[in-house]
Amino acid sequence: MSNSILRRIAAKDKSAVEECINVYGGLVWSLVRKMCSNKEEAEDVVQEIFIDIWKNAERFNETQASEVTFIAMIARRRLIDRLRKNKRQIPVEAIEDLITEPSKSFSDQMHNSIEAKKVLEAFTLLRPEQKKVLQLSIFHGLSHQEISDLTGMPIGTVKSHARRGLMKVREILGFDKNDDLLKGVEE
Amino acid sequence: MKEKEKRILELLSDKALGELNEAELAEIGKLEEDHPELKKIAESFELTAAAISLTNLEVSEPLPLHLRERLLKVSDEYFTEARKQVEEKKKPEKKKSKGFIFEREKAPSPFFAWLGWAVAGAACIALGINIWLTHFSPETKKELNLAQQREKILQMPDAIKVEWKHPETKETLGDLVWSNSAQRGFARFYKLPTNEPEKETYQFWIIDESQKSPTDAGLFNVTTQGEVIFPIDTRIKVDKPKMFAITVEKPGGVVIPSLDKIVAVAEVKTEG
Repeated sequence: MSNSILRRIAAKDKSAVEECINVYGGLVWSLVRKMCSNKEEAEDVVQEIFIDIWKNAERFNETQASEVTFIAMIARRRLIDRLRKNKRQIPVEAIEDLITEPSKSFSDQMHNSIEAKKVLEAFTLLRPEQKKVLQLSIFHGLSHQEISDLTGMPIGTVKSHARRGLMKVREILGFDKNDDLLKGVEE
Repeated sequence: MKEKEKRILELLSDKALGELNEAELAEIGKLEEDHPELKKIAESFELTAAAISLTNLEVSEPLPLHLRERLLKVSDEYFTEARKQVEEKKKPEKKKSKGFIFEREKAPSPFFAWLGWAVAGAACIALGINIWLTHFSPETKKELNLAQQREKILQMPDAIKVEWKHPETKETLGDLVWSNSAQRGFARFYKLPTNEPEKETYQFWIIDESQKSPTDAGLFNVTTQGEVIFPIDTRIKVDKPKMFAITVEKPGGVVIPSLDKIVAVAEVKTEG
């Protein structure tokens, strides 16, 4: 079993904390800055996210996902919570400026994320509308209603594209292995 | 695919994209509580969204140096506190009280046992004061509103978060965060009926395994609809909270809770 940063943090190895900040600080900061225009607020959110990372380190399962994806998940959770409380205050730009292809220049640590590579492959298999909705939702933090307003698609269609697109990518990533558990959830 | 399975997958997908409203959050919260295995599936959706987010991320701006320093400082405080708690857990556990929440314990403890707990209590109080001074001093408190103070509590290493439920219908009425080391918590409600303060008041109670009777944790009134947050403070040190409860009492509150007037309970699940 590898001695990942998160495993060492879970074991209360203090040196791993500094390593975590060095390795993932830029990533977390970039994720937050995309959603928080106010710099002071962004700094507070980054602090909250790192505390969440330390708290949740022992839950990291490297057989399920890579460390960078797990950290991005923790960051997104906090950002979603924040957006909900602030009633979403992301400036909506012109749709032409928002629709972008996935970046080819993301850093080495993300190149090493198997999931990120698979997502790029998965995106080629999605319907264009599914891809567009997911990009607007995940890359830009727009709500389904905002996407509907921006694209002219009915809200129900936006929801449907988002759900189906996300489920498709999830399937391609192999994250749907536990879906059998759903069978136990019956009325 | 069955309708219920489909509905759950929709909810989990929407959750990962931050699209759930309060009612849907409560719905999925209840499902996850009844079926903890769903959390794994929920996480698989969140990981998918996270993996997607990484494909469009350019780390062009490094973490600001002053923020890096701030994180290192916070990590020192966090891990010092976390280590203390691990040490505390390793110590022999205090004799547990019997199960029923309002049941009284038997005879008082011997003097030395009392002395030991008094010393431990003093240490905890000192620790609490230290945390209070660093995180919740009056100066800090003045600058933070209740929602921000609640967030601070939530960040404490020993923070617990549980839902307020109606004792009979089990409907979720809000949530509660509590930190034993800070000896403070916050109750947030979005579905507690308003009351008429001149006729009645709500009263918080903490059922602590180490106390003989429920501990009074303050009064509050709900005079507006929608989300409201109230601080929970107690003059008696809370050692092992098992349950929090709210009763409706006469203005000014009471010393012993009216058990027939419990309007909400928040149960703390103990590990193991």
